[in-house]
Amino acid sequence: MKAAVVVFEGTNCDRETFQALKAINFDVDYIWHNWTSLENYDMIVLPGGFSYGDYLRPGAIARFSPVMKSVESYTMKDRGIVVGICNGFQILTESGLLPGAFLKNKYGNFICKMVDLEVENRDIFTDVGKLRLYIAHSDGNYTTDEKTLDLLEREGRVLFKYTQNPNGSIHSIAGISNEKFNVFGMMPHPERSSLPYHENMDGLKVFEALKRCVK
Amino acid sequence: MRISSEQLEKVSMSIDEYNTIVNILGREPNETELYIFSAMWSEHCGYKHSKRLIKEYFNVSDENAGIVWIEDVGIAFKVESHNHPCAVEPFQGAATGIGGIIRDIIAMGARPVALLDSLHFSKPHTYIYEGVISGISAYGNSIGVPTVGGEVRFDSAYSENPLVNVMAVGTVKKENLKTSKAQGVGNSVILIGSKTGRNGLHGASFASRKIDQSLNDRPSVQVGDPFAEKRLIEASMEICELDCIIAVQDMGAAGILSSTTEMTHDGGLGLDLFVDRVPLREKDMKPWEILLSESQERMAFLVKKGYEHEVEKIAEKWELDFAKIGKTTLNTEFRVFDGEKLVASLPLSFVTEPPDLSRRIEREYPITDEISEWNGTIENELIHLLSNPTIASKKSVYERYDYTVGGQTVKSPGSDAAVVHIKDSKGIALSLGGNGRYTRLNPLEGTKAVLFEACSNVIASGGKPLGITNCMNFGNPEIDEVAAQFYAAVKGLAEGSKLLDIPITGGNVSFYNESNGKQISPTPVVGVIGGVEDVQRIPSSYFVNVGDPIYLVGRREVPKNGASMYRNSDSFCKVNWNVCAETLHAIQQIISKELVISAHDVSSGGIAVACAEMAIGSMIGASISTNIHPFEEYPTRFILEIQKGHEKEFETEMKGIEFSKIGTIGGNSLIWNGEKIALSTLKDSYESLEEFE
Repeated sequence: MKAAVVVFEGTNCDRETFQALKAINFDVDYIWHNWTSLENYDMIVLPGGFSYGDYLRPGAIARFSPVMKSVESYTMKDRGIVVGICNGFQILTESGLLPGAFLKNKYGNFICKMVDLEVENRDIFTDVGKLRLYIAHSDGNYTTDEKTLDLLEREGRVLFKYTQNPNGSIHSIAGISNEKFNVFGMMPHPERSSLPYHENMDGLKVFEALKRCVK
Repeated sequence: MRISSEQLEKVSMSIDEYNTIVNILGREPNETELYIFSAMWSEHCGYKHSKRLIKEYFNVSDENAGIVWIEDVGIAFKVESHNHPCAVEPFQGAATGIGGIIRDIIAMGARPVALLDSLHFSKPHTYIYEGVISGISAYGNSIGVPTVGGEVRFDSAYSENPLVNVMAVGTVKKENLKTSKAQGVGNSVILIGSKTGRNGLHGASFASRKIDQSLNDRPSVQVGDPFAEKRLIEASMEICELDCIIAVQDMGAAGILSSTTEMTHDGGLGLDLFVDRVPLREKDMKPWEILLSESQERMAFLVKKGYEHEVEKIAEKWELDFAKIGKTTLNTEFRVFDGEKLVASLPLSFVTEPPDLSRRIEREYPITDEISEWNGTIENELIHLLSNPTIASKKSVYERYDYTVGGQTVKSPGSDAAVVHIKDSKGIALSLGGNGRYTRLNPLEGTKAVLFEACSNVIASGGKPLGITNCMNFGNPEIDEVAAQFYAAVKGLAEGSKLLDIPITGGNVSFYNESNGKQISPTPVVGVIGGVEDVQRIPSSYFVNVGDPIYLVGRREVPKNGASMYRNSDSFCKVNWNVCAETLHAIQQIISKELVISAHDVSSGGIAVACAEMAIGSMIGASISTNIHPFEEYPTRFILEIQKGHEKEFETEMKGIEFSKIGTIGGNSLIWNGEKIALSTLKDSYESLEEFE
């Protein structure tokens, strides 16, 4: 299977995301933000970082790049899946491919720490109940309106929740999907828990579960 | 002589220096030339109070950063200070401090992989403290280089003049290693990066004088743009793959002027610069302003003539400005043109080699070898020490830094030394630290202690020390006392490096750390880099297995140390450095074996604090029974957890090294000679820095 790691100016988790995908036997390519043909890929990953310096608002500039137009049509064609991690998740909400938006962390500062997560969607994450992954963000406080929240919960679109909410996210949400289950977003960084010398390898379980979502 | 003393003061130049210039040139310098000298002969660029001593004692290369090798991967590393800017504008000061040292690493052709900072403040949660930490967080996180370690220390000596020293580490393939020395006549000096504005004018001369609250120094502080830096890193990495790159130099203090003249002078060439070609962000800048501007996020590349377009293509991809601003020449003249007009013409070596003002002043510092004894109870003193902000957990600081971006971090902040994965099973251990308490009492012996402490950290994290870098933070070098302190510290570091047989690969000096006549404590900050054989086989920093025996390795009975955290007096303890070096060697050998389960070096607060830290980290207690002084400090002592049942093997291995079995792991309290202290109590004290939030 082929995966693409999209690189925007300011992306900074591209290398480790590449490594993690390779570890579960994906053929991986980096693709530049002006690239537009995505049909060859089974999974498109928007990695973490500070695309365009997070200037204006995280993800607000990256959403206008040529590659994001293609990502949008890619999701409509049911070709493969799109995964946004951290800044990638922020780009997906800014583009409207995932619902909701991000506020500054409740306590203001950037937070980097290992957090406990409860898996909510056991259909996707069949083999895990709990996860420990790193978060690293300033704007991870997920929010959305009541109606969407209700839909997310009811349709099993909440992937996982923080055990101890670190950033103020509504319902402690740490990751969600769209209604077709072909666009996924998460604030925690599975790529930082994917290799033998990492603190744990829970992130690999996340990538493996997502790989199974590719039809 | 036509120049007035006001004019000289404006350019921070002495009348003697001015007269030297007139004598050698045989004429008065024009305005542009005067500014050129003011910057290049400032302490910050010219290192006139230190260069000769550093050269003589440290034997360092004059490249942008030092280098050690992990097989065929070069590890480039260097520390730099940004003390003055942080005193005036802490956020931007710290941010641009990160940006500056990162560019030293990319000038070696290396990709930055780790940052560490040594921060010295008067107390937590001040304006300066918050600003510096936010600045590091904002800039370092954005460029995607993990801040993996360092230290935060507190002492009233730094109330007006904080110390902000940043160490950057990068990796480079052998074939991509770059030099800063120019070669070949007619090659092109290319500027890549942000546009040049009036930012940071006089930054170099500003950093070379004391901080004066009555002067408005804020315009001398530059403003950082981490997004531009990130693009500059990526573009530079691509540019360094090109065959046409002859030399690379970062633009730091005195910007275009200093980077391009040093590059060509080091290569024995001359230089023609064309200031009108520099992309500007402001109108009507004078030639000297363009030359001296410290606008951030710019690099200089010397490119083989005819191949400039290869570099231009990469600059375009990353949306960075590109300009061919100069060329190397055969003679050793430095000429500056503004269009057709020649605005400066000087002998290059005269510009880059300021007069030597270094001094060798010998001073004796008191030393005591009376053995220290302890008969008191332990709980109050231990809680007091754990909640001392210098010792207390810095979690509330390092959780604001992205310490895992890059996915290479193996040992995180909070442990002795950070460990970063490099290649296959191999990694590097990194430590950076200073100790003003030690070096104030005895700059010679104290500096050795600082070096041995950094090595102890590296060893406790499973590394073998390979190289030393440093940043010497001192007061006004024109004061005899300060000059003596500096000379002693330089000698101390050189002697320590010999004792341990580890080379000093680079360094930086920051003078004039003074405010209102108050000098900071002499504070040499030492960075040590070590090689780790197998990143999956390094000891924990915290207690692991209930029932495992706990050993102290290193001296049992130690002399009274006036620099110990629990006491203040005026004499430093007498140290047998040869024995310390042997201890370090033995520990490094034993830690590579699997019988060491956890390890922590004994530093501030002595063995009681070291044991408490190991217990708090995993919330597993211990019972200690020993008559060794709980709080006294002495170099190269370690607390080791040894795998149960392997005591004999361990003790045999330690032959000839002083050690003592002091206790056993287990329980939910720390029991010290029968006195029981709940771990929760210790944890609350240790994490008290966070409660201020």
